[in-house]
Amino acid sequence: MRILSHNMLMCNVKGCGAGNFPLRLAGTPVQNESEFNQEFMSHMYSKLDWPALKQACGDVGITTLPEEPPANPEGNQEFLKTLHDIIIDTHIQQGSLTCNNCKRVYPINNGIPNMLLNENEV
Amino acid sequence: EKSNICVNHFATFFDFVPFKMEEYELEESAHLENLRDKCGREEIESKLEATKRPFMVRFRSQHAEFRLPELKSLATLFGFIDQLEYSRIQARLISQRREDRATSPYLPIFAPSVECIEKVATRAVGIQSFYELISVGKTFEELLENVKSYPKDRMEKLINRHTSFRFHIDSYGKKIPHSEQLEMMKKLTDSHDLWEKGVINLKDPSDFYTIFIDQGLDRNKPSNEPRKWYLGRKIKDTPVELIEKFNVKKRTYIGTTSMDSELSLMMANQALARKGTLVMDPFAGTGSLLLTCANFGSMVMGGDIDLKMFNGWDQDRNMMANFKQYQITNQFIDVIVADNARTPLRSVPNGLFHAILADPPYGIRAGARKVGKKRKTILREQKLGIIPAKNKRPHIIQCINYSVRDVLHDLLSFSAKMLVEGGRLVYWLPTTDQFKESDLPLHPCLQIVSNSEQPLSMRMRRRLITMEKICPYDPSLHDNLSAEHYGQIDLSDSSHGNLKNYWMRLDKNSEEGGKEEDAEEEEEDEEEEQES
Repeated sequence: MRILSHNMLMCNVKGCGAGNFPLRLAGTPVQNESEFNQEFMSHMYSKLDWPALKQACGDVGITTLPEEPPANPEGNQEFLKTLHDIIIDTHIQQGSLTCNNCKRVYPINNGIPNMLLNENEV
Repeated sequence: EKSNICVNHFATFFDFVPFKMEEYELEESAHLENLRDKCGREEIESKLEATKRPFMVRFRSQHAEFRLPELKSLATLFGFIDQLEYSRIQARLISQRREDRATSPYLPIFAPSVECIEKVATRAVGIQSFYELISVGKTFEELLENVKSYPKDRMEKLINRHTSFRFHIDSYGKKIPHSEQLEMMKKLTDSHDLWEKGVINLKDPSDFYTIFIDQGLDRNKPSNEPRKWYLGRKIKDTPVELIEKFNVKKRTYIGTTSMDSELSLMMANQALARKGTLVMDPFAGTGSLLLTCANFGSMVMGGDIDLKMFNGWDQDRNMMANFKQYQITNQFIDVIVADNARTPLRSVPNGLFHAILADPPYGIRAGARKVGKKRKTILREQKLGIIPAKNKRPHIIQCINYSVRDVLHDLLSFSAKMLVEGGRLVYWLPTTDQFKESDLPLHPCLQIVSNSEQPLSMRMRRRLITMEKICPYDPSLHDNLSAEHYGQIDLSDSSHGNLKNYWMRLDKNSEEGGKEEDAEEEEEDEEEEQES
């Protein structure tokens, strides 16, 4: 699972309200290089939740994320490349996502997060 | 000015009217036409027409209803949809699938340039070839006569290339005997310097000229006279190899629900898949819809309620293996095990996905399920006073029947929330031979772009629906829509014909599909009971 996906996932247990995003991330980050696409990264930057990204990086020990995005992030290729390395090229193969609010744990196995709820959680 | 002459040369044959994307219906609105006239038709058109060239689109024989939507989607993708023109009457003919109605595989169009056409040709699946249109006639003699009005400077350019050529007869609706074909080709050759003084090369010509004879299949009006004759010079064939590349039989990992090659390519075109975009399939299964989008450059994400679909048989035969096979692993973002009825994806302002594709498991081949406690379980728990305890072993989650209407409701509201503005939802809807427009699910944020029917049997059909997000999702307005807003049909209303029975049968199938798992559950439940 890429760090990008972590930024999009929330806890959807019935009744779990505020605090269900972002989830806490656990696991060992693995780097896997892939092709950089500026247009795509520009689009994704505008969709990211920056505090959630910082938290995820903190949770799994990624130190390359800048504190704040630069002045013109969509045009800054260097920044987008760094971002690409983090949200696209960094994978969690085995680990988990945990809700800060209700403490529900979602496992990540073989890089696939399992967000299915049990019957009594819907 | 020269191009204007070219345009007028054809104008009398085509009854051309500009066609706008918003009108997915082929019917002309007289009121709109009237307004256009009042606005000064010449003024509006002269700017556009000067830059347009005439082409012939020769469609493949299958999937008639998908032809025009695909052409228009690709024109949108390559930025010339507003300059694309064609005759509505002819457009209706080429879209006709039913055997008892007149049909044709030829559509003359006006488009801005050869470059546009070549771009479309790189990925059009319903189209066989594109030609530059040289002449049109109601008879063969007229066809020859009209070659003379082909713009002289263009003709000069063709002659000065001194390249080899050959002719070909493409006749639809009637077989032309070989001797007649030869006669036609001879007359055409003699009609103009371009061919009379040119070099014929049957095996490997530089220029391929085709005489199209639209005899047409029209059971209502049998006639020996062709509707029209056209003459074209081939620009490009569409890549047959693309269809072959995604042939499901050659794929590493497939399942019963894998979409066939041609249709999955068409869906990717309808979705405007291209570099720089992110597309999602919430019922991804074996990933057949994502593969073609990835092939055209989109980054892809998938969801499915069943982890087994992603994991496949083993490391070498799973969804990732398919991406490796087509060398598009770079486009693969992630897959998530999730229930689309309760998506774990957060709302993103202005949407996240450029396209959402879906072949929802309506209960035809694979039961549609969502997570939930079966009613009998709820009742039993109440009766025995069982309070669900924390599960000690890996728990197999119970799924309940997910009706067609609920699948559609969830899919449309998911799309309304998660699509960017201008983004597209492309999905299959199960329908019957008694389909009516009012059977289509609706959403105030989504506009219907196209609707193409594919027959499955006499009664059962499915339609590929394309919708576009036209306004931002506003939770205060859109979170609690009524059934009417969703165009949710009232199945007890008899005006929907046999659709009611069909959807009820699908709902029942998805229930049946759950019965196998029921048996497993029974065993497990008994163990649990003994334990407690």
